[in-house]
Amino acid sequence: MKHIILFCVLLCTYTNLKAQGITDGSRVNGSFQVDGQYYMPDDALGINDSVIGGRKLGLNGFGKITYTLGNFTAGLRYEAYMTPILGFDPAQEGNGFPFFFVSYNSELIEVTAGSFYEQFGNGLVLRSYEEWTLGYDNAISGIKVVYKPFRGVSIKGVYGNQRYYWEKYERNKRGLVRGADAEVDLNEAIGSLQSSDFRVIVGASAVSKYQADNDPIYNLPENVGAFAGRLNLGWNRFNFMTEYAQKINDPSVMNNYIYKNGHAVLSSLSYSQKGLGVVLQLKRVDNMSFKSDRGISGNVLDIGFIPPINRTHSYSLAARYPYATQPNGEMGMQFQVNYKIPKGSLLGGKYGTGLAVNFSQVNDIKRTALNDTTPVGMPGTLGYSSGFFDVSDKILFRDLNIEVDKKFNTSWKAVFQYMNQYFDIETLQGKAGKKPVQAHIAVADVTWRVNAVNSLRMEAQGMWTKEDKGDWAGLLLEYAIAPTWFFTLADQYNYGNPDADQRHHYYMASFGYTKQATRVALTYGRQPEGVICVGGVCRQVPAASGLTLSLTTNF
Amino acid sequence: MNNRLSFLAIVLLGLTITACDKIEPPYKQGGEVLAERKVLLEDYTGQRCVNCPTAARIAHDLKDVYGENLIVMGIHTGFFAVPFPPQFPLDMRTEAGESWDAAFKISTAGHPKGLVNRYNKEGIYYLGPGEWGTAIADAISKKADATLELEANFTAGNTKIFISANGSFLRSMEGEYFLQLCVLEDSIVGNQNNNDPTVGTTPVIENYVHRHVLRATVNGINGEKISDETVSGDTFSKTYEFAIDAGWKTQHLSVVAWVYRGSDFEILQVEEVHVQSE
Repeated sequence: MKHIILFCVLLCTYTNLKAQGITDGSRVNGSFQVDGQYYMPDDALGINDSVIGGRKLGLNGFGKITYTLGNFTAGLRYEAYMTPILGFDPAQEGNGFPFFFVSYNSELIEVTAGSFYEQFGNGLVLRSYEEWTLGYDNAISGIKVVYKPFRGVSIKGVYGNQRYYWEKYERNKRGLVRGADAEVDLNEAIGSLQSSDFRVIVGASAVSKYQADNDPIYNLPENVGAFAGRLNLGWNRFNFMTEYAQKINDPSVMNNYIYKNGHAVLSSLSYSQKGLGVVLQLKRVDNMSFKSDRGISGNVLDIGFIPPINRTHSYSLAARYPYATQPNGEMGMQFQVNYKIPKGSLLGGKYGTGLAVNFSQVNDIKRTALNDTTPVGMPGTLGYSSGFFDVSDKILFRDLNIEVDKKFNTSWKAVFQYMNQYFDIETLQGKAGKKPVQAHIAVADVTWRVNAVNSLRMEAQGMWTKEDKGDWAGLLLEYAIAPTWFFTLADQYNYGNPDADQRHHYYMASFGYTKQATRVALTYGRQPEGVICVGGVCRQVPAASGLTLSLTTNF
Repeated sequence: MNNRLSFLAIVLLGLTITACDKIEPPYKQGGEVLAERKVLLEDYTGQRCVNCPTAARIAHDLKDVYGENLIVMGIHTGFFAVPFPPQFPLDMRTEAGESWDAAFKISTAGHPKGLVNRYNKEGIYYLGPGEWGTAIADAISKKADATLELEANFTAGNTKIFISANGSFLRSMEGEYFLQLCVLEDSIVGNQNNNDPTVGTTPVIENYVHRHVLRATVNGINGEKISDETVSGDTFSKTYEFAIDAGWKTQHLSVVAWVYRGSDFEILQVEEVHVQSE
């Protein structure tokens, strides 16, 4: 309520100032989104009245407004989850203003009071961000200062507590986060290097959390520090980035209360020129879950972030088994080549042909018992030892995918994809005793541009696997009248489910209308059970049947 | 101005770097703990829930710390508790458990979850296993609002339990208060999914010992009202006779009773007794 009053006061002040002509040059931006679902029983999918639990409607919505006047910015975001859509944590239920801030930003200094998002380097030791589709928000509420004393030099400081659904901050409950980051772009800072082909950026971060120790079982550290150093080197078309992070003892429910230090390293080497891009990424993570409340698991209160180095698939069957990053331990690599076969060549044709090959694999790390009597990961111990290059034979995830992108003429274009995936469903989705999924997936996405306004797109997909729910087929037809209307019919058919009673069709029909920055879409049909991942952070999506309305607008 | 801000930045960096506590062994605490009351931990679990054995171990570790002042009740509910023969033939679900699961949104949030004295924060009752310890430490240090004495004895050739529950309120309070009684069976042996090798074999622990399993409520899902408005010193006294299931092992049965406030389910006092032979 007090936020509403504050906003009204600001609005009245603004109106008053506007009358005096003081607000000339000010700007107001904002966006609204409402996602609503109406649930219907569906006996075939096992969705009956008791599963729905009397809940017919789910609604997630937000509205945010940012006001800018010169160097001054203020904003707030209203959110409502009444009740949350299926698959979102029930603790989301409620409505209010979880995010509000005022900020002053000049060339020398930026000061923010209130809620803010921030990232140090790649985020290994600090990343606060919001992802609406996951219901994820670990915004920090407190003070942020960004100081730029010289050109190319940036020093950041943050201090505050993180958002935990609607729960108010209480002293000695969840923790405080404080951190500092410094980054120097040598090419910017040193005049003689400004036109150099050799580019260097160095940075360092330190983050510490404080949480009182009220635990009756363990002696726990109340202050846990994490540190990171990073280097970015560029030379002509090459770029090399690396970041190393270390965290001191941080026993928590996430690591089963072990006292081992954590480590993470992320490196990337890339080359790019017109028509060719090559990227190699390497990652090692060991005991790096870093949350501001040691007793909490799940997608909340993360201070650090482990970036995924796997391709994010957009086609539904290709995205059925998405990789979720494993902060307790993983070692992975990704290699990607993008090549454009030139126009006029045999394979390139009139418009050229795009080729992309991507391979990624993530293994578990190898853990060695500390002694003969302590099992690996035993709570109340250092847990295990693991050398920097110790990798386990256990493959968590592997994805080889090849994509061909071809425009045939002014009317026809297509994208073809083949994927070969390996997915340790027991580890990544907690399905005990299930064999790893080994799947072949193929996609053909063909668009026929009938004329400047009308187009028809067909998406055909197939997944072939002996594991989990077996084979799937998918077909989607989408008719678009640019730039306003689209109509979609789709079906996913789990025809190879080992349980013949579960070989369901997941049909769907939808249409949408877009005008300027406003889009409304209505969908009717079934949603298969699955997992949505964004940036390696995942949310379970239960099977559902019913009507979905989505409305978004920006101004 | 610039010098001041540089100084501030350096101080902030310094504070952050020095804000680290390195803990040396032993990592586990020892010594006595102070308890002002008894506390109920409801462990919502399931035999096919891979994370539940780790949660059960946390409950067990807490029981080791608090002894008889902590009462643990394993409540098998939801998808993970559904029998899946031949590997998981046991059905340890109860009508009350399923009802409480729905009321406290346990399955929606995902197993394992626990309730500590049914306290809630902003309407959220459930806690992850990592939160149980601090919640119990908080709860157990509060002064009790009621006393509760419990007796349970077998009758009718060990086919029935005669229960008497007596108590009093220690302060005046508004609202309705209820008495809830349940029967637990300890040490039920069956298979359990597991993903924690420090607890047992993965992915299945064969012959896992399920502890403190809720078998039934004695006086309904919501218990029985014992007071509309309490005045300090008010007493209550109730007796019940409850027929047990023939499949339950009588030597492993206990009765748990608690007094709770109707408006928010918060437990004022809880007690557990082993059922005594005739």
